[in-house]
Amino acid sequence: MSSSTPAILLDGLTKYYGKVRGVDDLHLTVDQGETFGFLGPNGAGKTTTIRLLTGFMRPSSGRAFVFGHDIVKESTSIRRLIGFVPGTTPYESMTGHGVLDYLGALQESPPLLRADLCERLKLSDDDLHRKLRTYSKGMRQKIAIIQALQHDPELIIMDEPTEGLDPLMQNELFSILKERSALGRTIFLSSHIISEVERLCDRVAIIREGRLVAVEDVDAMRRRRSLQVEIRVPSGQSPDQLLKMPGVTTISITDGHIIMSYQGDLVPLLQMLSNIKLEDLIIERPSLEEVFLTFYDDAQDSPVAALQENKVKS
Amino acid sequence: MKVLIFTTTLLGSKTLLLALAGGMIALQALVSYTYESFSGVTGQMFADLPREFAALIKVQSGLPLGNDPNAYLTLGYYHPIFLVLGSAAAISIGSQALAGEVDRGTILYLLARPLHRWQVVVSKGAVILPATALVAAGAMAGTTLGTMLIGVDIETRRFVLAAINAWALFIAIGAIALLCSTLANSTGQAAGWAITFAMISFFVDFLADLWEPIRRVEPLSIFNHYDPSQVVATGSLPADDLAFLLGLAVFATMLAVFIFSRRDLRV
Repeated sequence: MSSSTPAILLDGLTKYYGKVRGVDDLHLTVDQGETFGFLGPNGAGKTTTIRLLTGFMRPSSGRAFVFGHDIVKESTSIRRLIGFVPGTTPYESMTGHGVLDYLGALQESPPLLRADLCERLKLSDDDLHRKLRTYSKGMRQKIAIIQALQHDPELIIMDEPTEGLDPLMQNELFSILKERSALGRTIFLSSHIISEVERLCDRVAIIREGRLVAVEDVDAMRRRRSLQVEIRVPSGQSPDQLLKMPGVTTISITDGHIIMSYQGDLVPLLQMLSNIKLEDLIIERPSLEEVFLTFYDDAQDSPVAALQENKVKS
Repeated sequence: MKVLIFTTTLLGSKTLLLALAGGMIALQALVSYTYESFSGVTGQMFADLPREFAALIKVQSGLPLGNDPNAYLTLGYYHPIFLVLGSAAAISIGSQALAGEVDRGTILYLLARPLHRWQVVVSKGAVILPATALVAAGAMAGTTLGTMLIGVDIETRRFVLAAINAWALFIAIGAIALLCSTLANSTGQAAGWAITFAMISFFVDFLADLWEPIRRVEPLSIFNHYDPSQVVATGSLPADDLAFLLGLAVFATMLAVFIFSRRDLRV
């Protein structure tokens, strides 16, 4: 497996359930060692994409490769290389140890990381000797995570991995994943929780109604969106030059309190602001959440339409 | 075949199977016990049975039933509770095999391993063999125990053959349940289809003895290939009946492998 081989390559990947579209013509490349977020609301096609990658479904058309292995013809080889957190509950009638032993043995790779993961995710030996049906939702999720990571897979595929975990455990999971990433492992994280993708991922794809609408660096995506600028000027003054500046769109002006959005380089804006007598100034980058929501804006003339036409890239 | 999947699945069903086997032992011991109360009149009883009831319990005319305890005790091998216990083992194991994993979402954990789907189907399907063997052996053990308790001698070899015939019947039912399991999204759905198959098959076999038009399809009924009274009376197990039941089981398992290997899992 060459290091230049993409960890994941989707080439026109399409899945229809009868006449119902699952995903349509997905093109995407995830490089080895990358931490990649796959964002979209429920029903957008995230789970379908993962099911196709892991060999649970066959594509209607198109192809996809994991470390160069065809997902249809070499599905078994692919599953030697992956660890998968599926978003369902593991075997409830088994003990924690039982589940990890069973799935570990079937993986046919030694569970090198199990002890460390159990310790870091606070699963004691006593816990592991209990049946999963007595576990809380968070504890079951920990088992789901450990079974996926215990054999130190090259590619970690996670479907809503923080489901049920408390904030401390979420932090620990992110810390574990960052360590795996630093060691060159690839992480493919599907989620509808934008903040966790923002914290963890290098790049993100946004999927909408089965189609990719954007694939970008998390930072670039945020930068490319408008800044929100909020200023307060002395009563009676109006900064007309600022309001006429290219890239500025006024949102509201109320008695010296002006809110506007700005798209463009920061330097000209700061130069312009330095010429104005300001009583207060707030400049904010939009959160990924705000960016994400714009992609779900249905307006045809919104940036979404432009992205759909021009910005989708692999 | 993955031995680990096979043993884990088998051990996961041990409580159910031991309960069913225990029920079989109790049932056959009870049937043996009732022999004494019919002592000396069983021959007349069989002769006087209404045609419909004789068809229902598979007592056929022309067989040398008489007052022979061997003949009487075969009633236990066509008793409704016997068929229910044996079918319950077969359908439970078969229908849970894959649909149960799909139902619970655990199939995603299993198939995320580097396994071929045929390995999963075969490993889970193979559990039907010891599961139904245990139940059929329970029947044999119950007959032996019951006859020992009442001090009646039977020809054990003939009952072993009857138990083998029952085992083959249950294997066929289990394989059909396995096939249903590859298509269903829940254990209940798979079990429902398998029970429907078994019931239709049972009624075809029953009605064929009474109604000429159905007789043509009678050979297709699995129950037509299960005749413990004939096996015990003649002391031989027809090879074609055994071949039909086991052939059906192999065919259903191969079809299950074919279907499950191509199935989209939308869990």
